[in-house]
Amino acid sequence: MKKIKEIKLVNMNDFSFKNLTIKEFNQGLIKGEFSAFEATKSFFDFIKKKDKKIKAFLNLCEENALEQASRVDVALGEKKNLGLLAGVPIAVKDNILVEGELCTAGSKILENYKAVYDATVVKKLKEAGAVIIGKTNMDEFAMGSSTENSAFYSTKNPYDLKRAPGGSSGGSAAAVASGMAIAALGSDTGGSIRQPASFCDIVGLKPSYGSVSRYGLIALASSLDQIGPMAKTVEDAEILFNIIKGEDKFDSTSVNFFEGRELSFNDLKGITIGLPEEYFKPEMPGEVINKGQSIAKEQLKGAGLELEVEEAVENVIETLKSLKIKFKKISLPHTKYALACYYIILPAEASTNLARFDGIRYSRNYAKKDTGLHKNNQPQPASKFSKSALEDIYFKQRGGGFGDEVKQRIILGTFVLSAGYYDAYYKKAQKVRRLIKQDFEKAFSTEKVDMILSPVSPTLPFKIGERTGDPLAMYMSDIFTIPVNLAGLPAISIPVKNQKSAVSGQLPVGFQLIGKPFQEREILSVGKFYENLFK
Amino acid sequence: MSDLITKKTLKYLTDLARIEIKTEKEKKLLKDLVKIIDYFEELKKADIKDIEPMAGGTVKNNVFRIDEEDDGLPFQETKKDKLIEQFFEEEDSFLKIPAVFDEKNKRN
Repeated sequence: MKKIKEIKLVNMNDFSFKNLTIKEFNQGLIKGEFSAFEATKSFFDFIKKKDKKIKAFLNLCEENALEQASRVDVALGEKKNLGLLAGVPIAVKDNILVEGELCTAGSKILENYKAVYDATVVKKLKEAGAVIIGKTNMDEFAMGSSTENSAFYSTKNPYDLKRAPGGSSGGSAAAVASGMAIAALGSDTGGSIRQPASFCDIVGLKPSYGSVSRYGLIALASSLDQIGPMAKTVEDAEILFNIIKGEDKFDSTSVNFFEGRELSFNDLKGITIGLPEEYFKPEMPGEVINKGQSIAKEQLKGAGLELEVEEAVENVIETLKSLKIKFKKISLPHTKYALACYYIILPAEASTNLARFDGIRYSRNYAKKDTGLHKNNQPQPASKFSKSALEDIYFKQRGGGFGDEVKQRIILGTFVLSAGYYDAYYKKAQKVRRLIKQDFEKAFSTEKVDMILSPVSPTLPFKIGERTGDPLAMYMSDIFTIPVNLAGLPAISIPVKNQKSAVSGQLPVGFQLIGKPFQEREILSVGKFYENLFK
Repeated sequence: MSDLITKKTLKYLTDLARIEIKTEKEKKLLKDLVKIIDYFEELKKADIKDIEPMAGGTVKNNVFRIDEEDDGLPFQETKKDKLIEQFFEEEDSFLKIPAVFDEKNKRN
C-alpha cells in the first residue's frame, strides 16, 4: 500500500488494490495514499485487462462509478465523517437493480432493460459511499450452480480457468476472488452465494429470511430468495451486511431483528456446534435417487461427498476444537428429501414470478422498435392454436428470450401447480419443507447446539461443461445449502485455510456455518475467530 | 419411468406458460422433465401425516401499510419518463400494445 500515486497504477501485474480488504482500503483513502477517483479508475483499468479472461462482468458502470467516487473525494476534502465503505468498489449481481444501468439477470429477455430505480440494498450502499463498479454475470434468472446458464457467456474460476466459478452468483465470486472488486453482492435461493464463494475461495453470507430487503431484486423464488454479501474476509462480509440489513417498507418480509451477540473469546468454550450425520455420509445424496431408474450411475458422479472436501472440513473441526469449541453429532433426518422438495417449490414460485416477463413490459427483442407493432398485427399463419397478436408476442418473446433451463423450470412449475397435481407435488413439498425446518429447530432446541457446521458443496470446483448435460447432476451441487433456504436460516461459507490435502492442489474448499434464525452475528463471530488464526 | 408428462401434456403446459418451444428442443426437454418428475417420487416416502404445509419463509403475519396518501415513491414523476423510455412503443406518453381483444384471430 505504499505510494500508490507514484506508481500511477499502470503496472497491472502489481495492481496495488488487488488484495485489499475494506478496512485496508479505507485506511489508504483516509491517509490520502490515493483518492477514490484514482482508485476507481485503476480498478476499471485492471478489470478491462483481467476480465477478458475471467468474464465476471456483464456490464461496467464506469460513468456513474466515477461520479460517485468524485463525490466521495469532495466529502473527504470537506473533512466529512465518512463510513468504512466510502469509495470502496463493489460489484453487484446482475439481478439487483442499479438505477440507470442495464439489468439483464443473465437473460436475453432483459438484454435491453435499464433499471429505473435502485434496489434498497444498492441505495443503502450508495448512501454509505460505496462505488458500484459493475454488474456481474450469473446463471439466467439465478437458475443454476455454475454460471454456465448465463445467456451471454460462462465465467471462469480464477483459480483454474477450465473450471466453473460456481453459481448462480459466479460473476460476483470471480470478481472478488480475482481482485476486480473489493466486495460484491449476490443473491442466494438455494446456495447461490455460498457455493460460488466456496468455489472461488471467498466468504459468502446468506442472511436469514427477512434480514435483508429484496426490493429491487429480480425475484426467482420469493419464499427462499435473500441478498447477501460476498467478500474476501468474514469481517468485510459483516461490514457489508451491517449496511444492507434491516426492515424496508418495500419488502413486507423484511424485519428489524434482535441481532444476537458478538461472541468473545471466552464465550467460545460455551459454544456447541452440531455436525449433522446426514451431511457427512458420502453415500447420502446417492440414496435419494430412485434406485435403478432412469438415472445412470455415472450421472451421479460427484453427488457424494468428495474425500478432499471431507478432509478439509475435518481439518476445520480440529482447528475450531483448539478454540475450545465443542462439537456434537446431530441428525437432520429429512435432509434426504430437501432436493426434491426444493425442485418443486422453486419452479412453482419461479413460474409465477417470471410470468411478468411477457415481452410487453420491461423490454422486447427480436424486432426493431418502430416496426414491431405493425409486424405483429399481420395475420397469423394458420395453425392449431391460432393466437391473437398479443398472445403471439407472449409466445415468441418468452420462447426466444428465455434460455433452456429457464423454460424447463417454468414448465415444471406450471406442471406442479396445475389442477390435479397441486396436492401431489406442491402441497406435499410444502409439508416436507416444514419437516426440514423442524429438523433444524430440534437441533437448536432439543440438542442445544448453537450452530451447525457442514461442507458447502460436496465437490471441489468442477470443470466447465462437466455437468451441463444432466439437470440432476447440477442440482447435487447444492445438496448442503438448499435445506438452509428451505428453513430460512442464516449461513456463511468460509474458505478452509491451511489446507494440507495434496490431492486437491490449489483448488479452494469452503465450510458452512448455519446459525439460528437472525443470529448472523454468532456465525460471523466464530468465522472471524477462525480467520484470525491464519492472519 | 414417469408417464405423467407426454408430448401432449408438454404442449398443454407450454400453452399455459405462454412459451414457444422449438421442435428440435422438445425431445431433450421432455427427457429432462421426466427425469426430474421421477425424482419427485422420493417425497412419497416422507411421512407427512398431520403436518401443516409451510407456505413461506417469513416470520411475519399480515403486513399492512397505513391507508393514507403517499408520494408514490419510488415512482415519482421523475421516474415516469424513464419507465416510458423503456417501453417498446409509445405515443404522447401512452404505452402502445396490440389489441387485447382481437376478434379476427381469437383462439379456437
